[in-house]
Amino acid sequence: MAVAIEVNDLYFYYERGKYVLKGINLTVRDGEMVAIMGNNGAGKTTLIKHFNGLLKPIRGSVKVKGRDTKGLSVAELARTVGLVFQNPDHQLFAETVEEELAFALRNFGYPEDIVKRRVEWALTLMDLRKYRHRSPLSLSGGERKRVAIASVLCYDPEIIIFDEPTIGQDYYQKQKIAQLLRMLSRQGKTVIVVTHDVEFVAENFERVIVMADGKIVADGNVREVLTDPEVISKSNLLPPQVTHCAWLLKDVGISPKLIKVSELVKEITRLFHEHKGI
Amino acid sequence: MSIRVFEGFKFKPKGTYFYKLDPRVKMSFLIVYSILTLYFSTVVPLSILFLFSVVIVVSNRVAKEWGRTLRAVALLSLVIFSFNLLFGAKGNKLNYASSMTLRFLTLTSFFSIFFLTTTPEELSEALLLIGIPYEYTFMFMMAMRFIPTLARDFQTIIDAQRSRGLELEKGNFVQRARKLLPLLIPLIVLEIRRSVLIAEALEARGFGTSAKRSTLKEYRLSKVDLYLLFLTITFATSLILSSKLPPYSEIMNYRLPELVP
Ligand SMILES: Nc1ncnc2c1ncn2[C@@H]1O[C@H](COP(=O)(O)OP(=O)(O)OP(=O)(O)O)[C@@H](O)[C@H]1O
Ligand SMILES: [Mg+2]
Repeated sequence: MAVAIEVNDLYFYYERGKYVLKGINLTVRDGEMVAIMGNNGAGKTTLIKHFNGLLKPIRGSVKVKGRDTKGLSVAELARTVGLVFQNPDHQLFAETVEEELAFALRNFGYPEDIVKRRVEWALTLMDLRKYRHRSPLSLSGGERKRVAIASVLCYDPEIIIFDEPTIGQDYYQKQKIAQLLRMLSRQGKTVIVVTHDVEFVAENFERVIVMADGKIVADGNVREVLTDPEVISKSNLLPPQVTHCAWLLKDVGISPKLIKVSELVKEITRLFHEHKGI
Repeated sequence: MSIRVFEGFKFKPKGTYFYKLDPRVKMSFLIVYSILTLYFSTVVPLSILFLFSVVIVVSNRVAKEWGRTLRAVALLSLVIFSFNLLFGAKGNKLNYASSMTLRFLTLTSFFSIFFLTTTPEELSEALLLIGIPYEYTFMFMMAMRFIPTLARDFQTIIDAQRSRGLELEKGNFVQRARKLLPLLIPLIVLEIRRSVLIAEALEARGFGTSAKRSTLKEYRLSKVDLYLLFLTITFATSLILSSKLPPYSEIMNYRLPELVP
């Protein structure tokens, strides 16, 4: 499959000499669904701001669909790369939710009938129809987050990046976001999600990139990465609770490579039956 | 870039003599020299004052931060200069424009010295000592404290809207002005939300319950404080006197030649 994002030996600092990204190398293929994890200040937000050209590398390069971001403006890249920010309050401003969703579409110069159709689609998708005439600023925190997500989804970018989409969402909405991510992935979109929620990653992702102190400390299959004690301790992560349980139950014969609740249940049931057999 | 203007107004610990002064002395120093700067309107005494501030800056090793602020306001002083030269008061325009610009730079310089060497706590102490009620002092301190936060918020807002295709550089003047709305509304809403939050947190912790407040650190005037106070007064008096008494007054009141129209 073709490459969506290619990062080569990327270095970046905000203040001269204080490197926040130190030699990042990674490739994300078209249609992949990738989680990025790492402690506060690891450089995750800084990294994803390179993917739509908000930040430009100080050393190294970032290529989006084969094009180097150096020569491209944010507006050019934004059509291909949608970025949903961490805090919805940094972007909501319109009088109604509808207007908020139409903002990006109008910036990109779509004709009004398409704007209308796309807004309608995004409202339905994010469960926001009943708020369409409300002011986005008057909604609850979780609802505002959904408006922010919808305002990017509505122009249908090929690559979609979320910065901590599950923050402030109740369990039901979190499940809905997981569904949404999988749906986008099924449609062939490239989905990149920055998150601290290790259970969310374990249940929904195949590939995870772990960052610490401006470097990538692990990149690979979720099961391999999240059950590797070395990676876990190096990056100040907590393993998924299921994995933690499995580690503690290692002596009774449970595999230490479990990451999902369903797997642990299966494993315990198996053991139970084996012992009843004895 | 725009944030750099503030660099010379932010506390920067260096530990040289000016830092050790009592906040009250530093405050008096600032007030005396600001008044002097506003009192004189000719080039010579204003240059002396400016050079004096430079001596303090250099001897306290804050030249780098001070330089950033001065460089940042250089453009503004150029505007002040040309405006006064073109549309200034009747009479000697070159002289007037030069002194106004110098006055602006000197004031900036003295304020920069004060803020570079005074911690926020000392600053609030100094404000209290000149009789400003604690509520206002506190408000001022909070405002200062939140300038960098506000700048960071604004940057994030710009990033978020640019990610949704907002192109700030494009369009004519009116179109560009309209593009400020998506930037300013989130900023204002965010800051109002934050200030309500802070106010509630303060009330929850009993802000304003006790009328009389004590401070962690008690300030006493030291020898160095008294020396500097003495020096400040002597220097200020001699500047004023020399501008009144011949033969010095002639130099002090020297005016730049009129530009030939
Ligand atoms: N605009 C900025 N100016 C200066 N330093 C910054 C700026 N933005 C971030 N930093 C610094 O860069 C480092 C990485 O920040 P970044 O926001 O990328 O971390 P993060 O991994 O997203 O953390 P979090 O999990 O808290 O969101 C931090 O040390 C932060 O203080
Ligand atoms: Mg972040």
